[in-house]
Amino acid sequence: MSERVAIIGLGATRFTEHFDKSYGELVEDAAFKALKMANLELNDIEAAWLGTCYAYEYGTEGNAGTSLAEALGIYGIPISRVANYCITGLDAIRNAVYSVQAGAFKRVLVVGAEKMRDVPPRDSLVATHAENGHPIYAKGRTAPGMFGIMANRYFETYGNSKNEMAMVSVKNHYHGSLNPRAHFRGKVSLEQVINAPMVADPIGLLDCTPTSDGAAAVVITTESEAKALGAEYVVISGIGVAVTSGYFTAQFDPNWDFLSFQSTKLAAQAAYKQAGITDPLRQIDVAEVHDCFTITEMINYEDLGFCGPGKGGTLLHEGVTTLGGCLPVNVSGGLQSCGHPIGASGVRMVVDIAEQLLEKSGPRQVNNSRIGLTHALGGPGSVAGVSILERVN
Amino acid sequence: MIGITNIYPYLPYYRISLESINRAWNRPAGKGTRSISNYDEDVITMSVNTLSSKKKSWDDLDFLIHATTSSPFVEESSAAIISYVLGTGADCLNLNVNQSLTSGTKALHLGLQLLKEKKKGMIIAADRRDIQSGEDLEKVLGDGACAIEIGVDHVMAKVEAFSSRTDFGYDTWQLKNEASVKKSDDKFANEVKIENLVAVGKDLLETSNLQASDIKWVIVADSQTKLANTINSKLGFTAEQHFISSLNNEIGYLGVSSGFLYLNELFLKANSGDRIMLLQSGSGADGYIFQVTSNIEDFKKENGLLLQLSSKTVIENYNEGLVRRGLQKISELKPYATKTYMRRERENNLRFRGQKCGECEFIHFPKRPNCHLCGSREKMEWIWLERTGTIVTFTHDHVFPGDIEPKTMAVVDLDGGCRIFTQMTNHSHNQVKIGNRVRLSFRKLHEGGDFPNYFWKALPIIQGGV
Repeated sequence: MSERVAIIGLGATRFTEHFDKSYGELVEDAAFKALKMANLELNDIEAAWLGTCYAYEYGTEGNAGTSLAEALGIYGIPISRVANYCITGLDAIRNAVYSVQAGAFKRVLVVGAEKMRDVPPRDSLVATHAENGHPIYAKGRTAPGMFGIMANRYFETYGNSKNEMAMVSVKNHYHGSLNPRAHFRGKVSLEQVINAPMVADPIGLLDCTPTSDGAAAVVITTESEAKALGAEYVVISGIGVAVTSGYFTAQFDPNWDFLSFQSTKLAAQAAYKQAGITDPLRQIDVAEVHDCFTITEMINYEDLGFCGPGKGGTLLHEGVTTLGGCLPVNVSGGLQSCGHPIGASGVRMVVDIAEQLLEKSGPRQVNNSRIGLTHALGGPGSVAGVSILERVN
Repeated sequence: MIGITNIYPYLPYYRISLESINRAWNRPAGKGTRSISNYDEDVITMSVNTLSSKKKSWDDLDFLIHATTSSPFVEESSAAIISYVLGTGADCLNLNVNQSLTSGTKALHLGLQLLKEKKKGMIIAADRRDIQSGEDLEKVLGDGACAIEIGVDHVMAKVEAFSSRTDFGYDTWQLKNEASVKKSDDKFANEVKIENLVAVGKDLLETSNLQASDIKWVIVADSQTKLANTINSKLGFTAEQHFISSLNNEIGYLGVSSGFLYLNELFLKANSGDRIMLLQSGSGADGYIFQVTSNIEDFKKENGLLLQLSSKTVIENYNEGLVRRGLQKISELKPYATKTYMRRERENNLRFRGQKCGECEFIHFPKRPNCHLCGSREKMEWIWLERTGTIVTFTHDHVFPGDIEPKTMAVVDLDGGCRIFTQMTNHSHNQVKIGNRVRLSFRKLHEGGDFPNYFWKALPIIQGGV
């Protein structure tokens, strides 16, 4: 086994509507915050990865490593752009981790960024598929729609769970109210969520992540280098990614039950094995999971092994995943409150969990957390990534 | 024997009440309904759907003639597109007879001539004529299609006489770039119509050596019953011989397809030996005398007209009718599309065919170079997919932009294998439940790339199986 990999720098912009900031300015802001915490100069960085999912959709930036080089003024080193649907940011980190583990580089930078609100929300991700997706198979599909069909199947199998979905939203908005970097800082009530306008039955407006701008960054190095630098750090003890189907054809697979995501299960299996996790509910202290829609968070609990199939609602009723519970989930406010600038989210989750492990989370601090998890899910659920972070000492 | 071997009607599922039209324009109520095509229908989809649920591959057709005044194309053969979707061979002759209300009767004549050298053909008449909101014709016209199959075997009605008379069209017309059919003075137009129709009727009796009393029924394919009365009395027919269709009241006057639909309605009542005269005006007038054979009984058993007439949803709100017919759009979608993709995926998207793995028999849609299940790269075989299935799950999506919102999407397990994810149409939300049965219908998705992009949508199979 090669040397453990450490995260020594964390940075993130607030996720919100940054009408006055460009894509490059967001990238720059997050990257220099991470470098500052790592106590490194730009020149210390040997390679970098940029995670942006939908370049060219909202301008011409984010399509290549050049967008990171230009924003920071960092030239002459290898920089790659990674795109892998909503796991883009986490996958950029995974690539950086491997380069450090392989001994190719010692100090690398990962920035995830997405600028979605230079256009109205409906002209952003919705328009991507409505206008530019497959001329036939993309027509009628949206992100909420692809999870709406799961929610209806979930209801049919396990009983109506609209109330439990609403509990996810209430919980994450409460968490978000404690996070100055969240897009939405307000709390919501169960009634507000249940009575919100319908988006894709049975998913209502307050079951959905908003459309946001933002960037997040991490500086990664070897554990020995982290020690030599005298840095505060956490280690990445497991990271897994799995792709289990195509995009348009995911729903064409007659073997899918629409109740879980095989991609999450396989990614978790890989990450758990590396990190020695055998009982996730007990071993993991804090988690950020992909709550693009509230039903997704419930299914994630089941796929990540926090509970059995159909039991996601039970965890919510027992308060297990609320701040103060035994496994608080999305203490940042999750995608529900933070928003979801696609390429940024996977990195933002790692920033949030690392801050928890380093006890830098202020009023939303989960006490004594030693092991944290991040989970991202992309496309129609056909791609997922899981990382396990650990506090040292 | 040469003649008509079958008739296949297609009526859209929605009707608008005359009362709601008149209410919108502050006119006295009025009775009856008009058929309106859905926002995702045009004359090409309606023409395909006359036949799409009967059988999948119409590869036994030697020719297909499309007759309409309302093709979405000025240049491009609607008959060729319909032929392709229906799975005819590339050697199936396609012809378009357009631009007159006698296009259908003329196409039939042309088809009968072709039968001297060919065995089997289809004439599909369809219309979806555009009317400026508030114009008189709005109360008269409906949308629909009707296919007449002609051939040399199993003839149910033989043609005893045909007559045609050429004149200008004084009644209705539509200019290339105008959005509405125009209409001239009724009294004047009727005078010309009567002159042409009576002349054709007389010529039919003369050339066939028949007396008025030899004819069981006469149909004047027109929206005005009074006009038909005048013509019938001038030709010496009695009131009993005058066939009064119920269609005008139920669905309105369906342009080019109306004559075929009246014939379908009448054939359901006819018996072997009955003679029927059909008169149709438009740029002059055409007429036929048909004689029904004993094969008519097989037709009566399987014909779908009565079921289609009774399976409907009546819209009582004028504005809802405009939105439903696609005349008022919430938001227009003109996405990326190219002719290259259209051709490359034509077997999937137009013919709705899938691929079966020769190794493990897994059925794929859309096509792919290797098996999703067993990975085999050998022996992918094209097959026709079943057009019925069961809803696995669904959502009503309020975000996707388009003519009608919300858009219902459904995952459907097809009978005989294969799963698809597609839009639903012709449905109310309470008809969309997991486990419910659906049927696929050929529909227009959008006009991306500046051409109509077609695919198959799921619609509820309601009582009666329509």
